[in-house]
Amino acid sequence: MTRARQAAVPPEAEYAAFERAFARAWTSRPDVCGTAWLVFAAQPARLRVAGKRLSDVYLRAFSHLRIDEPARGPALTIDVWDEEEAGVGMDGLEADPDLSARGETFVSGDGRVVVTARAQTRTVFDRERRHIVGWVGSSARLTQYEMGRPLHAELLLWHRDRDVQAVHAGLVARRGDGLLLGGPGGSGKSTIALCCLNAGYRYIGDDYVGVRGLADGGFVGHSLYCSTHLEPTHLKRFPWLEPHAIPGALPREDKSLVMLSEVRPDRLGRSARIRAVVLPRVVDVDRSSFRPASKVASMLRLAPTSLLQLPYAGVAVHEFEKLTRFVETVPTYWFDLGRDFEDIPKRVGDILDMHA
Amino acid sequence: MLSAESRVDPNVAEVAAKVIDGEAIIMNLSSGLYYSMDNVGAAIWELIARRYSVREVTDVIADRYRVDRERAAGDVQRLVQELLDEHLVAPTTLDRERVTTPSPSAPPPPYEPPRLQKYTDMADMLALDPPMPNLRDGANAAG
Repeated sequence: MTRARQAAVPPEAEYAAFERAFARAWTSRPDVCGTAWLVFAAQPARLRVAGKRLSDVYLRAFSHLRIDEPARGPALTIDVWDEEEAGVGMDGLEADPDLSARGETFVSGDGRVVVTARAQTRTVFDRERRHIVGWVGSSARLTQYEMGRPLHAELLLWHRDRDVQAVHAGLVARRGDGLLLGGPGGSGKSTIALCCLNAGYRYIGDDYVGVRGLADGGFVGHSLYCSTHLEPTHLKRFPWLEPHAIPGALPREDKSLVMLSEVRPDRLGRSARIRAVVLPRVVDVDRSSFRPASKVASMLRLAPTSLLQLPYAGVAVHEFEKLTRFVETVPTYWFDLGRDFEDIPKRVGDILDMHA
Repeated sequence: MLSAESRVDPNVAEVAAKVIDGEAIIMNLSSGLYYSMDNVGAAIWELIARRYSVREVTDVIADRYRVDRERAAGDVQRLVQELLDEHLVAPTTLDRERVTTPSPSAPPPPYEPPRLQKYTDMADMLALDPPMPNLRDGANAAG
């Protein structure tokens, strides 16, 4: 069980043990090891993976964030190994055969080291060193969630430490000008994002976006993943995605996962300046339309899912205040989502024309 | 027991709130419940957040909205009690903030009894990632 060790090993000691184990994996099987450089929130990150299959999983989710090795050092280092491929395990650490088991998190007394345990993975994040070290039992048994959003909790926390707020929203862009799509699941964020991607816009995300304030008072949104999760009936409305759909294996995985890096890699973007926010609503009409929304309507749609579902929700007061500054600054519209998918990007274009 | 001289404070350990354009949004980050109030309710929230007593809030509301003081007193009492019941505020012995309450530049909208709108849709929703219950914002936590 991945959770067997936690009581005996403090997070700080676990970090040191994981570092040693990763070093063994890295040196013992160089034939399955590889390094990639990524960019998160405009800052370079070095990803080292011991395990070819595991590397494929991660790079499918992050392919649009790959960069050449930069001159400056990494703002984040991620070292992960796959026990099955690298042949390096740790005493007492076994994968949980129950993939539906709920994860757990343990935090050192000073808040510096965070251990995140899931059925097939266990990571240790030293926030001061900006270093995530992770073990994967078998990359062949990762959940759909772990494939689509690798290291989700860890990356959200790293972004938060860099003053980049994770907002539960989508983001599409045209010539660097972005439209943030806010709202709970099922409100139409993915529909707008995918229709826009198909029409030639840049797709930056449809689930979580990192938002950072700029010195001039504006805001920029950053991509985390290029994955999208669609319900079966929803997927049928995007036939060009269906051949790439990865169905869920667990009862809770009721959506299909699509890695957009395999569909339209040329349409994926890393970041955009946020010019406006739209709050989608599915309505029973053909043509889409939009009209101004109040600031509190915007907060009511953005804040609950952005803040209350975060792993660090209990200390998210600072995030709430940042989100209010964002909402007060950026124009917001209700977006009544019609049935005509070709019309949707045109209305998005109308909004960007007003604010870009 | 709530009296006319009672003062309450937002429960800042768990609650984040903001009044924007005359509407209030209040989130309890621990319970997952969130709330909104418009018009009179938002005005009352701004006053109690400055630790105005129940009587002082009543005076301001009755004056601002030109409403019968008895009626305002009943509405303020009821709302403050509801905020206490929801653990959004807690009694305090601290004095009122010594800042001047700016007079609204425009006439207020017509008086309506304040109403705390409660949203429960997030309360039972599990976070996708395991929560980090003991995470702190220590200055040295992040490099």
